[in-house]
Amino acid sequence: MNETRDRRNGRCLCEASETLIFPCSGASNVGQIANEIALRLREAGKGNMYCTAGIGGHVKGLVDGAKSAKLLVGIDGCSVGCARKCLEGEGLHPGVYLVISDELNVKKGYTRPREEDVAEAFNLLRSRLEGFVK
Amino acid sequence: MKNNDVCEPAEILIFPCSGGTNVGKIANEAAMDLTALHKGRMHCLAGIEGHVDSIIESTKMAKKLVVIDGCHVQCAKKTLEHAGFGVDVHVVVTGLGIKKIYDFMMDLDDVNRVVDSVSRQIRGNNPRKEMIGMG
Amino acid sequence: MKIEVLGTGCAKCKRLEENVKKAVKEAGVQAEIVKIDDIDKIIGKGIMMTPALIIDGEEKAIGRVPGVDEIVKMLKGASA
Repeated sequence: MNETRDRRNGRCLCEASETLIFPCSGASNVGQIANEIALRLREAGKGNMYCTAGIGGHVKGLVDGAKSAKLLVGIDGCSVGCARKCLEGEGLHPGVYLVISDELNVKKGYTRPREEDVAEAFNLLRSRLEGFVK
Repeated sequence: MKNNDVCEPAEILIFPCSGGTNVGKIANEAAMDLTALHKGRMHCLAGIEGHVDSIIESTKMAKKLVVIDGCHVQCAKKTLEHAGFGVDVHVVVTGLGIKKIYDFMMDLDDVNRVVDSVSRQIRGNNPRKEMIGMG
Repeated sequence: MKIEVLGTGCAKCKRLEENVKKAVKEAGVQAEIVKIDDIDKIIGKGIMMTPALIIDGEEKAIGRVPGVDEIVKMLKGASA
């Protein structure tokens, strides 16, 4: 079971929300790698996995929140770039952006993601975030 | 690199909200399970959000649009409606009595409940003859 | 008027609550101030970031701390 670190440590949601993570969560293996690493980054305390659909749905509270963040992280499964386009549609630009199929040697397919690919993508983005100067 | 499998039209398209909490994860998992069970095909909501032509066009060709939202905010339904699509089947995870919490812990029984609810509604729903309010 | 201050307890959340209290005094409005610090209750309202300020059910500020003057304007607008 994943540790509910945020709640058990009494950690504030404000701090996590300074970095918002937007995965495309698409229907392919690479889209689901994007989804899963966003989730794991949140659990590792590296940011707040956000509701990308809230941006596309033009939900005011979610859009306003995204505009208040210090750093937006976009993760697209493939080069179609849906999550990035969604953010740009609201005038939002990710400071860190990753396309899974470009960065990993993973062929996009209509299957569940492999754990080793998820782990590789997670480590890649985590080190990129650590190296990013806000 | 374009993958034609994902971009080909399918008759019943399923859009989970995939939001940042347990109920978003449940919606996401349920969509994948429904796809594996051949009840429909999970599609890329982000492509609707980003106004991506290939995703919009393949959605126009579907006979039924199924939306699984995590909570009452209903981001996925709003996204599709904003793009001019009518939603044929809509299930809200919290509407099935599953509590939304700031966590990704997921009970597989909850996923199965969502899968069952969506499956029943897909069976009970007649295909649309025409799109509603295409934008 | 009901003012909800959403935050899980850090310095930002506390500052928001202080600013709200000062603004209520300055604006001279009658208001019930409710502090919500439970993460699950916060996200249950559809709020994914804190601190957050809701006045009479309307989201006024998400993920930031508005100053006292800005909150006074919000309160006067809400009570008009």
